[in-house]
Amino acid sequence: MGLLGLQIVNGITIGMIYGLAALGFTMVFKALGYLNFSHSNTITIGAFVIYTVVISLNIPFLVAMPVVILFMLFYGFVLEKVLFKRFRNASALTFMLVSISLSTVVSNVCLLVFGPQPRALTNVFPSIRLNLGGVSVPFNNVCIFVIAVVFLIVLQLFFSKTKFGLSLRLASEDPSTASLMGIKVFNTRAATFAITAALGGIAGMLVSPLYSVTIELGSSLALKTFISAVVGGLGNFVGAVVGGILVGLTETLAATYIASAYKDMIVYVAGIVVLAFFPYGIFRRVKTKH
Amino acid sequence: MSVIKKYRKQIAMVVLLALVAYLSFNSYFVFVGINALINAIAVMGIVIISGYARQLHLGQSAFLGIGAYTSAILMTKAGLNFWLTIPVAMVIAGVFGWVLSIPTLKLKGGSYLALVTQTFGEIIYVLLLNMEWLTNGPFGISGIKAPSIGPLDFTGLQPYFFLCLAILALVYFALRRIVRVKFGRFFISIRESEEAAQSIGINTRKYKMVAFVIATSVAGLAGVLYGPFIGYLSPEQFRWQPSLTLVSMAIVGGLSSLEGGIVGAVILTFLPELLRSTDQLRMILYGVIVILTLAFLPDGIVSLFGKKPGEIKKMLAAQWDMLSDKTLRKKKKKVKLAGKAK
Repeated sequence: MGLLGLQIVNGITIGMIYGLAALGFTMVFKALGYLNFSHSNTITIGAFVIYTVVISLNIPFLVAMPVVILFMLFYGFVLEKVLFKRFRNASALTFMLVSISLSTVVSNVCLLVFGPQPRALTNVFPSIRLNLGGVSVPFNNVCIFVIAVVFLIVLQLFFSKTKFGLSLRLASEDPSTASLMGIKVFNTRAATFAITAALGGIAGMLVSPLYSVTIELGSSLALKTFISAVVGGLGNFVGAVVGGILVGLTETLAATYIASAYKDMIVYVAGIVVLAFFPYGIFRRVKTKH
Repeated sequence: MSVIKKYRKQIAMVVLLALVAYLSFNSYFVFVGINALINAIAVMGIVIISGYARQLHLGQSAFLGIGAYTSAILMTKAGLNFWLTIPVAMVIAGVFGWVLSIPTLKLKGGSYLALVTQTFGEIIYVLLLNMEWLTNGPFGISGIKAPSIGPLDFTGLQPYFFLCLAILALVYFALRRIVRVKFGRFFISIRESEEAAQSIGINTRKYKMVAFVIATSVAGLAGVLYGPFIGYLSPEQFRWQPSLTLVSMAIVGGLSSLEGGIVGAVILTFLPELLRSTDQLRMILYGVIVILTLAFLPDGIVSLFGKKPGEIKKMLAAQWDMLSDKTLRKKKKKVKLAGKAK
């Protein structure tokens, strides 16, 4: 019972990280109809930047987070203004390849800037264990979970209460109506990219205490993020987070109870099987424009 | 003579490639050249599935892996002849392709297809890595010998280059035949509109499956050639990054024709080697060049062929206007002028 409980907590923790990253992926898809394969880079960059800020500048983790988020917002904004803006009329395939090539460029720039050696961000949170209903849970995981939930609540408030958030949602639902109502759709696109980059960066920050920080960090999480977004239904925000948690749970439970070498494969097969029965994700019963 | 006239473009291409290889007896260029030819065979498979049938396929290198491993295992463990492993590898890769096509038949959006094919590639990677009794796991398979037939021995780089060139030509003509007959027409009808194709009685499911099987078995063939060339196989060589490189080759060259696939494969295989002097900036420049090609030539490099310099200039200028927001600005100016006229 203790092991199962612990694994469920671990699964939900890593799942929240997948969910946050998948949220960014799905937001771009909803707003533009394109798959942004360079999204996984934001995870790597987020992890490296927080490592640099925490270790070299010796700033506490929680204080460093806003710095990293600002940096990621800027990164996403610049990327959209410099590159993605120019491909707004491109076919989905071309955009996908542009983002793949961009991913090559960005990860090699990261390699140049940060170097190939792996780093570890340890002792971010006190290494004590909490006793939650008979299950001894690492404090680390609880912190990550709480931070992820806080960000999700902030995001939800942003999208439902602020005027800018509402205009972003309208612009992604229906750009032409939005532009008729005085929303500058080009600016909302830039904001979408900025926010998605920030979400990827948050996922990277949260994953950095769990995994070692390497250049491949983003690409190792990329496919699972992708599956989370697709299982939840591309363009479905709640679905992305729930999909992420499902992927995280499947992964940890499969690693514990079936075979740890095949845990990735089990997640992938599960993803494909779910798609074969629910071609539009588990939350979308009605066929919409996609 | 009419045959020569009809195929003069293709013959010119083959002669050109052979000439390049012959003149540059530099073994390094021949090495890269073999790589380019093997990539070209796999990319032609992508052209069939993604160009003709418009089904996105991001897992092609996994099928290369299946072909390479099948052939290598049969040669090293069962002692089978190289030539006999070719059909076996193609059939096995094709069977895996058929399995992959089953869950994709329902999926209409390219995005979902992208996920399934990419994930399938990763599944194959995990299998290759963990089925140690068969594939040697992370240690890989080494000691794959080059083939020979009668007095012809293909050990050495130059002979192997010509073997690959011959097989490339064979695959090219076979695939060309396939896309010119009924099959190819059906694939194109699926690309243009699946519903319309169904309404005139085309079994689109069946032909999507056929397209997948053709594309993947071609990749299996490319994989068979890959084994003796490198001499060592490990699962890392067949992950999703090389798959994405293969797809970018297809797009950069031009998805609409088999020639485009070959051109893209040759150019993008040689590009990183030409940039080798820039050392660490190599992959960055490579990515930038691919992005620029996609920006200016969305239909691939093939769209430049057979056009006069003036036309090309016009095309690039139009594309530049689109990229740099000029079309928007022009419209605004027009609106202003119209306002003044009133």
